Amino acid sequence: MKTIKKFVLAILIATVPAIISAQDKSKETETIKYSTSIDCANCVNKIMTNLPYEKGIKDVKCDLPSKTVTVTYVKDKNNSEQIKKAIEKLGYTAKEITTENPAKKN
Amino acid sequence: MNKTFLKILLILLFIPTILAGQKKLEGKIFDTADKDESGLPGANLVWAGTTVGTTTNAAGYFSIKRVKETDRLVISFVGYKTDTVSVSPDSDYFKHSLSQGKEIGEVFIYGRASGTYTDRIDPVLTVNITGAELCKAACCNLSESFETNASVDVNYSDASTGAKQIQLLGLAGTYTQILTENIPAVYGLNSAYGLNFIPGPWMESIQISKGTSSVRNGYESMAGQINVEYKKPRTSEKAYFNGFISDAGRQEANANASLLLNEHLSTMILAHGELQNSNNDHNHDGFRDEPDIRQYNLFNRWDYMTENFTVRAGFKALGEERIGGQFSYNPSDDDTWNNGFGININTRRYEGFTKVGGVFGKEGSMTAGWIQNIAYHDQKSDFGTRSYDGIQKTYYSNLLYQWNPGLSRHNIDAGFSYKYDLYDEKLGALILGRKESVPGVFAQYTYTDSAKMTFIAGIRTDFHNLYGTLVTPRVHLRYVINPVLTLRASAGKGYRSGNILAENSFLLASSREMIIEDGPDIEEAWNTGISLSANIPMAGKTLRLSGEVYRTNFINQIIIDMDASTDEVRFYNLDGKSYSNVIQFEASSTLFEGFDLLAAWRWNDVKMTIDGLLREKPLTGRYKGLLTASWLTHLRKWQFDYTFQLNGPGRVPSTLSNPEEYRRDETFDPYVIMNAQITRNFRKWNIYVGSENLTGFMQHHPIIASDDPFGEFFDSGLIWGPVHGRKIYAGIRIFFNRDV
Repeated sequence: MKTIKKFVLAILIATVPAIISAQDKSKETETIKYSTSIDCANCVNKIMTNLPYEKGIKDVKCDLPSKTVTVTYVKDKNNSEQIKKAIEKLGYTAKEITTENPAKKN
Repeated sequence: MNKTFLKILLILLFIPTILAGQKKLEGKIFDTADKDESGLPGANLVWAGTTVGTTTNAAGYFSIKRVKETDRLVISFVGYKTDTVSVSPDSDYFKHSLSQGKEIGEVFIYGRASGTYTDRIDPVLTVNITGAELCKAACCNLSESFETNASVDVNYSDASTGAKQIQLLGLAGTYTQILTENIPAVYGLNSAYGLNFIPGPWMESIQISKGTSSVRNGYESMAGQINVEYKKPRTSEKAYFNGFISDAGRQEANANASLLLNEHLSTMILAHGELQNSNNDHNHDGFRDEPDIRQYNLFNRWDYMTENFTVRAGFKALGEERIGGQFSYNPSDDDTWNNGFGININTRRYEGFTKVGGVFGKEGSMTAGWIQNIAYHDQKSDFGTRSYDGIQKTYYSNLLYQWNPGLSRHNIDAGFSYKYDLYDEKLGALILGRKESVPGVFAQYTYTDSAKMTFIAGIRTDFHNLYGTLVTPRVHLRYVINPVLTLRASAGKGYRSGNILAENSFLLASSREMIIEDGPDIEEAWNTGISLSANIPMAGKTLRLSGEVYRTNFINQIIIDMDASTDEVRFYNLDGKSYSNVIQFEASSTLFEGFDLLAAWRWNDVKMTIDGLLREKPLTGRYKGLLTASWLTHLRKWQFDYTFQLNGPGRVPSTLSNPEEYRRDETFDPYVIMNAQITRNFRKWNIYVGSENLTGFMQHHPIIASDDPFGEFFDSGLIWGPVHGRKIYAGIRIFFNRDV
C-alpha cells in the first residue's frame, strides 16, 4: 500500500506542471505563421524540441513543403518578435506572413 | 547501386566510410517523420531522364555518380511521395527527406521515429531497438532492455544472485550470440552476469536477429544474435548525464562526454556507477530478494576517420561485487558455518579492442576490415560453503574482405578469424583448465537487387582444437512479393562450445551437486525460419503485420538435468531429440499522432530429452503475449509508456522426493507483468518516473528450504517468475547535443 501511495504521489507531482499550464488556456492566444528556412527533417526536429519551451507557447506546427512554422502562443507571455528571434537563434530565418485575429480564438 | 552494397557491408562491419571520388554525390534519405533521421533503406534515386540511379543502403545512405545531362534527382520509395529536386553541381553531399503517403495536407504533422523498426532491406530479419525505445523503460542495463520486445524473454536465473538470462526462441540465452559492436561479448565466464555489464545509457542501439545470422561473426548464433552498438563520439551527445534511483535500493549514475579533437580524431568517455543496497524481503524468507551490488564500469574510445580509412579503438574496465543470500550473512566474517548463507561474487573485467577498415581498389570496389579484441575476466565467488573461481583470457581477431567485382549485383565476402580462450577454473578444490583455439575461414556470396530480393549463401570452416573441424553452412533470402509483402527465409547450422561451470555457477546456490558426465561434446543445431511481413497503408497510417515460424533442431546439446534428482544437477550430452518450435505474430501501428500501439503473441514449443524422456523445457512459458502503448504529446513535452506482458504457464522440475514442506507444484500458472513510465521532456533534460511490475506479482517462496540453507533440500534455482515485487523508480537525463 505504501508503495502505491508513493507512486500516486509521484504521478501527482509530475502532473502538477501540466495542470498549472492547462489553466493558461483561458488566456488570449494568437497564431502566427512564419516563413522560414527550414529545409530538412532535422530542422523540424530542432524547432520541435526547442520552440515549445519558449514562454507561453501553446502549439507549434512545422510544414516542410511550404517551409512554414505556425506558432500559437499566449499574448500576455510572448510576442511575435520574440518568437521570430527564438527561431533565428536556432539558425533559421523567419518572416511573419500571417496573423490570425486573436478574437477568433475566443 | 553497387557502391551501396559495399556500404551495407561496411556498415554491418561498423566501419562507416565515405567513398572516395570526385564526380559523385553522396547523401542520406530519411523519413520526414523520423526525428532521428535514421535513414530509409532501399529508397530509389535516379537522375531525371537518365538510367543512372542507385538505392540507399541499410542506413539510408547513398552514393551516385554525377551526370552531365541534368542536376535533377528523382527520389522515390514505396509508400512515400516521390520528390524531384535540383542538386547544385558544386555540392557533394545531399540530405533529403521523403514524406509518407501520396497526399500532403495543408499542414503536415510530423510524427516521430518508431522506437523499434524492422529493416526493410536486410535479408536477415533484424529488429532494431533505438535509443528512443530504450528510453521507454528504466533500462539500466542490457538485461533490462527487452521489456518492450516480443521476441526476447528475460528471467532471473536464480533467486539469489540477481543474474538475469534472456531467451530467444524459447532457448537459453547462451544459444544467442551476444556481440558488442560485432565483437563476441557475453560468453564464457561473462555469460552469467555479462548482460548486467552493459549499461543502458551507453547504448546507441541494439539489433536482434532470430535464427542463424551471417557466417562472418562465427559459428555461434544458433537461436539468434544480439548486437549492441555503443554511443560513438561523432554521433553522440557532447555531454550526457543520467541519474536513477529506485525504491528497491538501487542508485545509478551514468555519464558520457565526447570530444572532437580535429577533423579526423575524436574521443569519448563513458562511465557508469551502480550501488544497490537491497533492503527488500517481500517473501519473508530471510533472503535478499536482490543482491547488494557495487559496480563501476568505464569505457574510453577513440575514432580516427579519413575519407576512406577508419580506425576505432577502445578500452573498458569493470569491477563488480555482488552479495546475495541471507541478511544475516556478513562477507567480512570468515566463519562460513555460523555466518548465514551468503553469496559473494567479485568480478573484474578488462577489455581492449581495435578496428581498422579501409576502402580501396578501382572505384572503391574493395573493402577490408580487421577487428581485434583482448579480454581478461576474473571471477571469484562463494556460494555458502562452496566456491567457484575462474579466469578467462581471450583474444579475438576477425579479418574481413569484401569485393564487388565490376560493381555488379554480386558481392563476395571472405575472411579469416581466430578465437582463443584460456580458462582456469576452480570449483572448490577441483582445478579445471581448458584452452580453446579456433582458427576459421569463411566465404559468403550476396546477390542484391534491393527492389526485389537479396540472397546470401555463406559457409565457414573452423578448426577447433578440442572438437575438430566444424563446417557451418547458412543461407538467407529476402524476397519482395509486392510493395506490401516481404518474405524472408533462413536456414543454417550453428555450433557452441559450452562452459558448463561458468554458465551455471548460480546453481551452486542450492544443495544440488554438480555432476558433469561423459566428456561434454560441442553443441550443434540446425535452425530454419520463415517470416512474412506486411506494411499495409491504411488511412494515411501504416499497419505493420508480421508472422514468423522458427525451428531449431539440436543434433547435440548439453542437457541440464534437474529432473532426475533433487540432490543433483547433471550435465550430459543429448541422447534423443531436442527442439524448439516458435510461432510469433506481431501487429503495430501509429493510431494517431504520437500514439504507437504494438500487440504480439508467441507460442513456444520447446522440448528436450531429459533423463531418457522427451520433456518440456523446464521454467519456460508455453506462450507470451505483449501489448505496448506509447504516447508522445504533440509538443513532445510528455511521454507515456505502458507495457503489458502475459507470460504463459510452464513446467517445474519435480520436487516430489523432498519432504512435503519442501515440495513445489510441478507446473506454474500464467501471470501478468505490467510496467509504466511517464517522462517529462525539457529543452536540455528530462525526468521520468515509472514502475516495474505494477501489480507486484511474485513467485511465492522461490527458495526451497530457505530455513535450512546448508541442508540437503535447499534450492534457489527453480525460478520461473519475478522474485521481486513492485518497483518504483525515478530518473533524470541531462544532455548537451552537438549542433548538426
